[in-house]
Parts: sequence; structure tokens; C-alpha cells
Amino acid sequence: MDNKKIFMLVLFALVFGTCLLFLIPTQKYNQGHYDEMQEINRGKASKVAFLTTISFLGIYFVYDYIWGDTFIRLSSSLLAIISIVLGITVDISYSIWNHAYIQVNQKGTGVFILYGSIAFINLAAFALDLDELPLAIENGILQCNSPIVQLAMALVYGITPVVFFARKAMDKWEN
Amino acid sequence: MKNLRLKSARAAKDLSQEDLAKLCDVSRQTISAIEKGDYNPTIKLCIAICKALDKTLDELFWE
Repeated sequence: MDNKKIFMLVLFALVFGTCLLFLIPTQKYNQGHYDEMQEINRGKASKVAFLTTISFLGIYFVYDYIWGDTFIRLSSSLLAIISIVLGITVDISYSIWNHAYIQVNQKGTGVFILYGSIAFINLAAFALDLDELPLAIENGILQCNSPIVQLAMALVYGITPVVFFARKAMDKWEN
Repeated sequence: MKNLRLKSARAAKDLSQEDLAKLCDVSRQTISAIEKGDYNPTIKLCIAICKALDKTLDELFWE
């Protein structure tokens, strides 16, 4: 087993261990629920995320049909990753912005600090795994290599604390 | 439309939005949204708020 694989295993164990560390004590606090306004906003978040993903795929389909042969195309894996990241990020960000992510009587600060840590670890894994470029064009198709998954994870986990703390700052300013 | 009657009833009982939210088992932001007029609560929540503030539905929610 080479050093890189050992490092990745250690990094995975670190992330998993950190999550487990927070999971056990939060079980006690995870008996909450969402109130009626939060349920409505969560439904809206799902709709917005769905529409965003479908719009992106629709726009890409049109681009691919008209200019796909002239310019570059996205590989199927890259397209899937972008769609998933877009959908999840929009859903979570909309929920957080409309106070529908954290359950009633729960505090969210610790969770989002954890998310930020996970984003940082994934970003570090992405940066350290950069033997080759994460994106490459082969036969007119933009391909992605495995480190792009770490970047996608870093993006998803990184955006959520930014939105959370921005919303908190805005609420303080409004009040 | 802002619900000033709710706000004044809450203030009369010396309750913060957080306190009222806990009594009604909802989030503080929901109470804030109701007071600002950004959200119309269900009848179930209206009743819960009225019970918490010792008021009738007419006094707090009806025009």
C-alpha cells in the first residue's frame, strides 16, 4: 500500500472519527422537529433545488445540441457531479436562509463549524491529491479525475456555514 | 399585514419572541414572521398562541 493510499485512509478515518465524535452527544439533542413554517419552507427549498437542477440540465442540453461539436462537452460523470452539487447546495442554502434547516429548539452553530471543518479537510485532500489536473479535455469532452469529488464535497460543506453565518449576521443587523 | 395586537399582547405578558416560541413549540423565526405579517399561521398554531397569551382568537387574529 503506497503512502498516498495510507494518507487517504488516515484522512478518511479522521473525518469519520470527527463525525462520530459529534454524533454521539447530539443524539440526545436530536429529538426535535420542524414547525409548520419550516415544513413549508423546506418544501419550497426542494422545489427551488429541483427547478435549478432541471434548468441547468436544460441549458446544458441546449448548449450541447447547438455548440457541443464546436466547443467542449462535459463528461457524464462531471455533469452528474455538477447537478448533484448544485441541487444539494441550493436546497440546503435555501433552507438555512429561511430558518428551516435547524429544528425547533436546536442550536446550529456547532453543526456548521463541523461542516466547515469537513469542508477544510476535503479541500486539503483535494489539494494534496493534485498529482495531475482534476479536469482534462479528451476528444473534446471535459473529463474529471477522482480529486474532483473532494472539491465537490468541500464546496457543499463549505457553502453551508457561510450561508448560516451570513444569515445570522443579517438577523442581528435587522433586529 | 403586521400583527401588532400579537406583539403588544406578548409585550404585556413580558415574553420575548423566544419565550413565546417555546410555549407554542415553534421556532422564534415563526413568531417573528407572524408578527411581521410574513406568515399566516394555521388555526392550530393560532390557538396555541392564544392559550399562551390568555387571549381569544378574535383579540389576536381577527380583523
